[in-house]
Amino acid sequence: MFEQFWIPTVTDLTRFAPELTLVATLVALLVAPLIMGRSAKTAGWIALLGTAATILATLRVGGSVHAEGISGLARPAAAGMLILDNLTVYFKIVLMLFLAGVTILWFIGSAEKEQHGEEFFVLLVGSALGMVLMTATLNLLMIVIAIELASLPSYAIVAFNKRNRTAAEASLKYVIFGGVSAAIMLYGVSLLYGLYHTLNVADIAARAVVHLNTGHNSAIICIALFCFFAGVAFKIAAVPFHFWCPDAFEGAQIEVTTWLSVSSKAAALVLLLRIVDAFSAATAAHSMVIQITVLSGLAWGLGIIAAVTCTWGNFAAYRQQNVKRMLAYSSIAHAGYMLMAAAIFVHPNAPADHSPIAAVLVYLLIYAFMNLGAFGIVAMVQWKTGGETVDAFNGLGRRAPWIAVPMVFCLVSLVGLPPFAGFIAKVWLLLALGEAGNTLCWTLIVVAVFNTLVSLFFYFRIVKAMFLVDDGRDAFTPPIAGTALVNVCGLILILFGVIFINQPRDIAKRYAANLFTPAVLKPHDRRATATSTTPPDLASMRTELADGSK
Amino acid sequence: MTERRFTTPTLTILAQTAPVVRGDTNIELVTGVLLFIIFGFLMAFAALVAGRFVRPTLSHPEKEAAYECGEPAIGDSWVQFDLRFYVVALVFIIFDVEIALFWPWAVVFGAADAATAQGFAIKTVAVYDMLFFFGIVVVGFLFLWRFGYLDWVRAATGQRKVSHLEPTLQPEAQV
Amino acid sequence: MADIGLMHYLMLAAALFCCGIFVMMTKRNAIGILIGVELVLNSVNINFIAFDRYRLIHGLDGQIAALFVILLAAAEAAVAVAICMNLYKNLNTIDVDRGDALHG
Repeated sequence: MFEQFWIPTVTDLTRFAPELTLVATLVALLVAPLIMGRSAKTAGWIALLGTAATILATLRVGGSVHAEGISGLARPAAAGMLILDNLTVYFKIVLMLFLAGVTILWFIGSAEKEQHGEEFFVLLVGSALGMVLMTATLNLLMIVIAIELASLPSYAIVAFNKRNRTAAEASLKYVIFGGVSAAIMLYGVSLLYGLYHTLNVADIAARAVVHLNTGHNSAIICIALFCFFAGVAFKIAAVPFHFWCPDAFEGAQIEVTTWLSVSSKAAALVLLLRIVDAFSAATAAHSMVIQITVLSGLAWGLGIIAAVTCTWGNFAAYRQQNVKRMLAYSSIAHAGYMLMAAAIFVHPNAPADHSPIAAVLVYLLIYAFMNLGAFGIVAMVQWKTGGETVDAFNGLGRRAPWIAVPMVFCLVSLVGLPPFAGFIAKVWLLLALGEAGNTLCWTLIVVAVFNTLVSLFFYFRIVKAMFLVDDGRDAFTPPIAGTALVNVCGLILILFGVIFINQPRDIAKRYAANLFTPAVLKPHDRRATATSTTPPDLASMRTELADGSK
Repeated sequence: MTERRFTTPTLTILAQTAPVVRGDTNIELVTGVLLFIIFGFLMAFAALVAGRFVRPTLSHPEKEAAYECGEPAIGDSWVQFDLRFYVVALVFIIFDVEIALFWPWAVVFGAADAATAQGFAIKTVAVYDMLFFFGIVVVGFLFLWRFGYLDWVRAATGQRKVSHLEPTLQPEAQV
Repeated sequence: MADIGLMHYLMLAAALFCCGIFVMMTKRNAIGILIGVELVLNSVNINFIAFDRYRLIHGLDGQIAALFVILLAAAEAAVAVAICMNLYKNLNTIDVDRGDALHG
């Protein structure tokens, strides 16, 4: 019975030290108050320490990552149950840096009056663990579990302030949209499992590509893939599935908004890149015709969603009065820009050097800093004046110049204008699009440039309010630590935009290379691990379907 | 089928599909389910229509009452349960479902033979696995317990401040 | 009657899935929508178990998947019901149409 049983060794476990450190942080957050009594600040420090330990563990593990990427904790090592490769290392470091930034923001604004610090950080770190797992797997069941692990704490943390009416409503909308999309995604997963009798994305991709080309079962494959995509698109907040995003972002506490605005989209995008990579790797073994028909179909599908997401986000942001809501729509638009790179990546003419992935990675890093800065300033304005509408920013240039100036940096960077890092990120993205040189990429470039122009207007409404409108509101002194945090963000944006233009891209290129490529199991491999000697499952599935449908 | 033995339309359909039934499972299933649904609706509808024509229409308040047995109805059936039941139910769900994960573990643990080297290794790893898994659940449970989330009467155990909602809940605590 | 085959289970699951989607689309009560979600998750479970039963090579993927779906459904229900309670405390209703403070 146990011939295929496999016991992980200590080496296997040490490869996943970052994930285990996050789990240990979760446990420590719950155990500490049992021993020392409740203290929100202790919880904050534990979270910060856990984040630092995770970064250290990631760096240590990352140094030993094999050039090909390693899949651990699964019997055939190439199955992709839990992956360790350059991409996961990069993502973990960026996510943990961002988590540390959010924690610092929480220390500045909410630590004093928070009564439930332990619960807050358990939910925050729990969702971070889910996001880390999302980017590190190619197994459908693991993908679903990781998405739920990232989502469930997010639903709860949006409603963290229990007395707040809008927060309660926001989290209800979030949980309902999330629950529905997760259920639909699971239905897609169950159909894919039934069609191919495996939960491994690489195996599924290898066979689905053939079937999509020959038209065998293609309708049901399309339905299943669409259902599956719905769940991922919900996390990205791509347009048909974006409704939760502005509501949840507006209702949530501002640290939570900051966290969700970058992390959930980033994790889902990396997951999407991985799936898309599995599909393009699956076509590599097939003829040019299959590559072109299947991949360009996928690429156009993603590209259209990206273009619509981007345009919708920017136009909807234009008429918002609430700055949190405006930034929520802006985050939808930025997810659209990054989706464009995913669309190009899957296109058969995609550049071979993984430059779309590198572009997404650079964009994510810079976007994290832009959002941390922008939301940090919105948070400080809200803590000091109680307002989060555009009006609250009137005359901020006079009232609090030390946060108004970095706000300009962040906003201009969000538009994507020089001399800030956002410009560089967008340039790398457009260059990666341009390298492909086909109709889809030119369409996307036109859409991206047009959207940059549109976004100029609503971002500059805030700039205008800060420097050109002054209705004589009182000046205020923002918290010193917060001012330092946002100024550091602004400084980083300038540094990456003027001096270190190439460094992020070089680093990202190094991390985007050597993506883990799962080996597709051949039928005889599969039989070796199974106890039966019946023919390969695809044939049996076909006969089963034929029997049933006669 | 050439020979028609049945005269009514429904039965004709039956007759026409009868030979197909033997060969094809799907049509048989669909026909069966369809007939079942159609006859089900027809029967129910016929009973209602017949009742409408036959019964006397004498309406008075007691006749209109939902619970018609001479006893006056009190209140609404949509009463609200105490919110604390939900908290207990939530905790119950978590522990209930957690047991489901013990099932595959128990199968492996029970089937491994401790006499062989591999079986012993499997049993050892399984014990540590379960200690790890159950440990995390227990930590969460201890947290709930210590800070009073399981108390029927929410005391101020470990809470810095009792919220304004709780005093109203306490008098009706013993149900 | 003919033997019950894979297709029958799939049809049952598809019917349950449609019922779930219908419930989600028509109910205005948050708990009602969650019941719809649970229906869909149950149809997923039927799919998984049926596919697992009717595959000729033995494996446990489908059964383990079903186990985890049950787990996810419970966890999601726990969080969602807690959020519904929170909304009820704030708004005195769990009608999703009444939550109209956020729009635009």
